[in-house]
Amino acid sequence: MLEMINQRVEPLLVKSGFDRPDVRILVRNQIYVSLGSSLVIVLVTLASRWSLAFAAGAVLALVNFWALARVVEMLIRTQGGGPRSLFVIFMVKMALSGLALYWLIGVERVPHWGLIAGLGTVVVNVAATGLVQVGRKKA
Amino acid sequence: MKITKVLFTTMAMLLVASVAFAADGDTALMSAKAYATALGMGLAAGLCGIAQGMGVKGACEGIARNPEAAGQLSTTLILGLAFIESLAIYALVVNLILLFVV
Repeated sequence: MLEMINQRVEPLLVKSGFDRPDVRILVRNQIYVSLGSSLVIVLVTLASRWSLAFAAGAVLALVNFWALARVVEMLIRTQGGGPRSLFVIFMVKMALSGLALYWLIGVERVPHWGLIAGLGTVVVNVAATGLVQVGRKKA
Repeated sequence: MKITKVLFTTMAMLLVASVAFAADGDTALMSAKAYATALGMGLAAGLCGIAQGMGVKGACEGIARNPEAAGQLSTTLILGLAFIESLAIYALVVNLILLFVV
């Protein structure tokens, strides 16, 4: 099942510009953690307000992580003409994240613990990947 | 060290002065919240910016010395930057909560 999903997701990531397999695995895991946990929590709590706040946080974290990985990939790969587009991507991402968080917290007043838990999916993925890397190096 | 201490004390006194002399309670509270939010976000953004800059500097130096290690370095760089950036986002969330919810 997971292999089948991987085979569908991989070409999309390659098309999006993620050439290195390590980075692809990282972004793929983030997609699974964010969307999977959101889906499970929304279904289990029958789309409660808290679960929707979690889903919003998780999607925001996923978009941020995606843009960050894309910027780093471009930074490593491109030799010329990169800095301007990197700067634009980074600034647009920061502005949109700030506006989205302002709208969620200031206007919609979503349950903030749900939002914080959703944003924590990045930390969970990064920590797990880091631990796996350390384990591989020791083995 | 002493100069830093004097500077921070002066800054703190300046920041709370408007609260201390304000006539209206709500306005004073809102003013204090705005100062706290601005200070908190400024500190968080500045320190996270320094940390991200140091990380990217190290990675660029490493890749310049050994271009073949670029793949491995990029993964580690993404992990580090994601950790640091999530701290900045948490700071933004906490500051927005402080400003609008509490």
